[in-house]
Amino acid sequence: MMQEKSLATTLKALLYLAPALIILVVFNIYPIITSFLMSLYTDYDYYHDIVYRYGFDNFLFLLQDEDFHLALRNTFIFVLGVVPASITLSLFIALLLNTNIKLRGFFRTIYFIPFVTSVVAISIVWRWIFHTEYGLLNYFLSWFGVSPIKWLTDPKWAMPSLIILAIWKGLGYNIVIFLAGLQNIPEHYYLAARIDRASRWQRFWNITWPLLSPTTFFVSIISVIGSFKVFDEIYALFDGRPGPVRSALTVVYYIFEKFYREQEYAVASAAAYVLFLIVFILTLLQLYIGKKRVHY
Amino acid sequence: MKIELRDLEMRFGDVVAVHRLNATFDDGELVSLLGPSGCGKSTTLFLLAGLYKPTGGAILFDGKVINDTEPEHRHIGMVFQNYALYPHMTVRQNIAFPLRMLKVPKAEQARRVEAMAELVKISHLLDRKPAQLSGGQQQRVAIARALVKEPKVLLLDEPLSNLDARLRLEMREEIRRIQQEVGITTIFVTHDQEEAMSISDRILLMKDGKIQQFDKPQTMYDAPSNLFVAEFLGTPPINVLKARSNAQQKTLEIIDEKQEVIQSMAISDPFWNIIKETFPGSALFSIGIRPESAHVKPLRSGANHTVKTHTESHVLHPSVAVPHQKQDHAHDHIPHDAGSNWGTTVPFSLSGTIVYRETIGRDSLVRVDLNARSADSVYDHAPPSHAHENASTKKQTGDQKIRAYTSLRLLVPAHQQLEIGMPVEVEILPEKMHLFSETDGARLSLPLDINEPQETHGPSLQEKEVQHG
Repeated sequence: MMQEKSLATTLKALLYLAPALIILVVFNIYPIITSFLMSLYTDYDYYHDIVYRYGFDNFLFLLQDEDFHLALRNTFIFVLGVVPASITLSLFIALLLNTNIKLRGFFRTIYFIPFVTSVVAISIVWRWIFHTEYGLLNYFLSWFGVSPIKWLTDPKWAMPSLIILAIWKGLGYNIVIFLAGLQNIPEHYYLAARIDRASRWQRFWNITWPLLSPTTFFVSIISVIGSFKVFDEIYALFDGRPGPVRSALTVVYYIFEKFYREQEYAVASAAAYVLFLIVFILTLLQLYIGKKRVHY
Repeated sequence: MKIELRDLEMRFGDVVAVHRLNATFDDGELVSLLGPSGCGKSTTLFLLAGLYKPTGGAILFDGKVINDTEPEHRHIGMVFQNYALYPHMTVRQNIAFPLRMLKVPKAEQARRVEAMAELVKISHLLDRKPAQLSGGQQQRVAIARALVKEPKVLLLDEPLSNLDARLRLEMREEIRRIQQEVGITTIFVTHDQEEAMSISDRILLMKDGKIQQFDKPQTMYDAPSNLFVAEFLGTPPINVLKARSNAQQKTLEIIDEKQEVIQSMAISDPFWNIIKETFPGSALFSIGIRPESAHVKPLRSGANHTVKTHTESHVLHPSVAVPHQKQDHAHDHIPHDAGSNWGTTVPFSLSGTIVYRETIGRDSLVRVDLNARSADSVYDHAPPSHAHENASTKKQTGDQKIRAYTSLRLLVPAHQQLEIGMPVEVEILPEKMHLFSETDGARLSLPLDINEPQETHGPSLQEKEVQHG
């Protein structure tokens, strides 16, 4: 039953939407606007909110700041390291869990646990696993004759450690989404494909992959955005530092440092807007590709 | 390809979906697997496809057991109930898919797809996606995809159930045409008896996982092997009356649910002899009467209601063997082979009242209430329900309550003057009457089967008839 649009109905709708809208405006919209303005402050008194001059100095600073370049580079490495591997691995596990195996429900729960556990708790456990002398990982590797790796203290290995942790943590969520997507593919396509003499591999590439593409697309966008925002894993894993010799410094960590540790509020805002723009452009790009490749 | 099923059995846990099925489908034959839902017909099809593996018995393709052969290697084509066209591929890609899987060269793929599209008349749709096609077009694509790899068997799983009535009619003719053009052994699953009757060389009717009858459609209609088959085939459904033989008076007593006699039907001696042979003593059984196999004529001398072609002197006492005159123009709704029999055998007669009349156009449907006592309150009792329901509610074992109907639905010529409330006489030829055992529903009156005069008792009846006449 659709009512005619009128002032009365609009006001009524607004009334129902108000609680959510108020929270969104106060905690999201308002900060987004003010931080955009703040990124343009070049001479200001933060505590009294007095601005003497606006300009693009903060953005120019970011262009020249070695640390910001490092943060950008690290973030891209992180995203490239996490997203494809995470999607591949979680799709593979989802495919396994989607077959008729025993204890299927049990395994699904197990894989979902990392997602619902606190990042700090997870990171503390992983610090044990990554420990150079007593860690489980090095213990396992020693079976294959690999000499102990300084996972958390060697600048070369800090980023891979972070990527491993992030993949492991994101697995559960992706698996659940993939499983839902897989279950949306009607069984009869597989039956038809079998009668059409498609092998298991051919069935995956000709049926599962194209019909799962909306899910894959969703998962990839969510993962890319999530990975660009990585922060708490670093904070917990490296004990409040951005890795040995800033080897795990990411953009959000950079913003955090500028804002809380160096009180460079305007630079932090500018960096946040650069991150926002990068994510925005990448998402647009993904949407564009998605339109061409995704079969709904 | 010739297909043999030997003691085929399929269990799902404790449920036996298919129970010791034995049948042979000949090369190039179109066989319908027919039955109500849950009768095991789709399971049988999936067993043939190899999507299920039988728990007992064997399936033979051209004499070779293929129980454990995967569907990929059975050389079958299949059309699913919802067609299962790959939604992300164009029609061309859909039809080419089986060829691509077989690694057929590109040029040959294209050629065969075009040829197949022409056969099913969808050449102009090749570059569309399935979602842009109508139900009937999707159906054609599905058939093309099933046939393009030139399989040896075509399996169709309720392919018409998603189409509207008119399209269903058109598509079943199309399926028949394509099947005959290609000459492929085809198994067609359906729950629609009319569809099965119209399309098949033979019908395999199933119920509860068991074969009820496996025969040519016409044979099945004329000589159903049990009450279930009789009730399943035909629209309007066959009329079923409960009857009891009365040896003293040589009558068949039509009874109602309370086992009370509504009316007695006097029967001629030859027929009586057969009944006596089959049931010594007084026995209960079901009488099946097809809606088109009876004559309805006004009973009382209601003068203005008389039907001009009938003389009414003899009809009240059919046990007195008065031969009928052949009156073709009045009986043209009766099949010709039957028409010629009027006059040689004596019809049985029942009296009743017209309580309902429905115009169909080609002919009319009337309901005749046989229960004289309830003639005034005719709408109180339920009309004969739909065949399926009727069959399923009548469980043979344990259920002591008799479900009896006391009215008949009959087809009469469209212009015959029959009005509601008119008392009428219903005449039925013995050979048009089907008798079924009350205990297990099996057909009893085999000697009377008109389609099988070669049966041992058939000619003898005719001889006796002549003597009495």
